[in-house]
Amino acid sequence: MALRPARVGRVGVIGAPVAKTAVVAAAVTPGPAPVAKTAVVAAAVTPGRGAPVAKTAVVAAAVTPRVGRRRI
Amino acid sequence: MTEVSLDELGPVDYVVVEFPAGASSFTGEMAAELRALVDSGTIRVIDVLILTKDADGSVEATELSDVGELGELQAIEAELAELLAADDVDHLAAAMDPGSTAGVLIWENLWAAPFASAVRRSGGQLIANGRIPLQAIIASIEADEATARVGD
Repeated sequence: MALRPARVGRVGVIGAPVAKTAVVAAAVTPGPAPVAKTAVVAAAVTPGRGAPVAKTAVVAAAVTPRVGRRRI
Repeated sequence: MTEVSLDELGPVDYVVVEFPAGASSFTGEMAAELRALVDSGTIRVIDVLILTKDADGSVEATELSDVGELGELQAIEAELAELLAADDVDHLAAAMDPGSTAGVLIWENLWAAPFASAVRRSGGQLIANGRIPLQAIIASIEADEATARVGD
């Protein structure tokens, strides 16, 4: 592979082989469904070529619950 | 490029976009749109790689700087941080079909960074995130409409 040397030997950020995303999504059942709690770990980047990669906690997503549905 | 405090970093996403053999049409439109997102401060491009998977499944990775005439992408290439490691290439290429070419794009969502920082300062922790497929939204709305028709 014609990658820059700085990429070789480093710890990767994509933890496992990725699967192809289906172009046509599976049918969904409307309504709330539980989501599993995920680990809050992500890689952060220090800009610049060959820069080290640091780890940090990442961002939160927030939702505002609504009663009823608003059309998109 | 200026140093970015980790506390001020926005969410970082990636996509792998595949161009099947013989189906690609590079007119410069993608590069122009990407440049517009960067120029507007919506995103910061962190890394770009071009992957090719041969018919036998072997994968070749190319740096953006090795592509040649970059046009709109020249300024973006100069700011790349090279986040991806060689180990990542095989993982990303796992989704590709043999004979195809794919672009890998990693970016920081600058638009979300101030809100994300505020959430962290408020003690919030990310416990789930994801993307809702457009097809799922359409299916949900259609189901609502069907329910409403039954109720009429």
